[in-house]
Amino acid sequence: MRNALTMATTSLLAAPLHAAGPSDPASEWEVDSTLLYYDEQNRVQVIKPVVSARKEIGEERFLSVRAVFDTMTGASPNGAAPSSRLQSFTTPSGKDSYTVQPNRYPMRAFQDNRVAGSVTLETPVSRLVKTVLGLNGSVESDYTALGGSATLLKDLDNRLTTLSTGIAVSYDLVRPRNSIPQGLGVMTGAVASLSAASEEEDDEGEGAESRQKVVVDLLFGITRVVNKRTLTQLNYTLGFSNGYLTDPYKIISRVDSASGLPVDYLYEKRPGSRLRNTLYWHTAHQLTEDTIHFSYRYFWDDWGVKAHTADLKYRYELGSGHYLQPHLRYYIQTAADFYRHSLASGEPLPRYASADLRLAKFTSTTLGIKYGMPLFGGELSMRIEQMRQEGESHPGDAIGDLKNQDLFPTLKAAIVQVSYSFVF
Amino acid sequence: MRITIAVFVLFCLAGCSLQPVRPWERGILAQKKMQIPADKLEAFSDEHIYFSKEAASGGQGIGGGGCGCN
Repeated sequence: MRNALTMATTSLLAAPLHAAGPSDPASEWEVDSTLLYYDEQNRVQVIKPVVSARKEIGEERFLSVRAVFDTMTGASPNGAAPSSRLQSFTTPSGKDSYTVQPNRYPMRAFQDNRVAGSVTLETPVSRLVKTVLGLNGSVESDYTALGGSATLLKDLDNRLTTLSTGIAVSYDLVRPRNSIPQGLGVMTGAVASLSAASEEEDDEGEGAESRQKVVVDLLFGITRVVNKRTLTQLNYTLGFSNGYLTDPYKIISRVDSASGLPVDYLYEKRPGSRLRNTLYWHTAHQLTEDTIHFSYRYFWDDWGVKAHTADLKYRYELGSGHYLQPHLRYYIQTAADFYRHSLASGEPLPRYASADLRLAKFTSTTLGIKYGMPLFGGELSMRIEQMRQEGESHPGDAIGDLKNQDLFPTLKAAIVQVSYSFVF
Repeated sequence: MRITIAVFVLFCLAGCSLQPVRPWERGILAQKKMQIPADKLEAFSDEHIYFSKEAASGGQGIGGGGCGCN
């Protein structure tokens, strides 16, 4: 479980005081529930309720279960570049087509629901060693994932230090609405202006891409009590993904090398493997009553992406359990080696190419505020945030018509979340 | 690579001012708001949002399930 490690780490350090809880703790469920609303102006909207419950089922043994529902609707970029011409594309089913007006960023409408669940067991192995085992799964109309994880935590130094090591394995199955398209194959039926789509394309000779993906993650972490008011954690994660990593719905425009107008569209193609590294550092510090959480993450992989993330939360106590917590997150990433906003006709076909903006160079800033208060014996909290993603709207290598287009429209998203935690 | 070393050194420095904390002095550390992360479901929701919109992912923990979003 993604957060089981950190949950277990700090509960291990706080172990001496854990027994000082309500009477008969063995019969109580600690329940956390939340409703998340995510809204990108005129693009994607997500509504996501989550319920999670944790219970002590034995001596220092805990069982946690979590259920997640996602409803996603709206439109997301299909990968094509905007053009001063009217563009027409085929839908994923291959049966219909949709058009995009001139000078508009090409989007494809979609709607999907996802259900996910997980179960986690925390159990002591010896006086200073604890293990956390998890199973998780998720299903949506075109994607199924099943995974498991195991983490070992060991206390040292009179419980001032906790070492953690863990492994997670996930098996994912991609089942797009139409068949898996040939990577860098031409999207037939797609038209821009009056030019006919070319039906001839080099067959890469590699056959159909695998529809499966296996992901293995390894984690090594240290958590240390610095003093009575400060806790710090450093994690290194190594991740390896192998299999079908391409987005079967995304395309990339091939434009005329002089005019920059679209000639045809190719399905994107990504490498069949990815090696990811993450270094994550988090410090929690309490002032007189207020608390600060600061984290920094450095990410790098073999796709050429490097990213920095800094996150700061300041919890300002208002008294009687009420608090206000401003939040600032800053993120910056470089582009993947094979990211291209478009290809030029006449240039040799690259081995891999994707116009997915998530692989482009950009910065993202999130600013938010959260308010929390005690309610009916539990805690109610609400947060509202705005995320803003900005990239290269006019890259230097844009050709012809593309120079007049915004190749990375600023993404603005509102994040609203209401949560309620209680003991049942 | 330099960044990795710098972060590691900073972490060591932060940890080097280690003061013995006795079990009865852990009251502050045991509070929910001092946990890493303080709000598990908020962290879970954020991880899903940013995993779907950015190339980088993870850091805090492992496992937790995949989705067709990246």
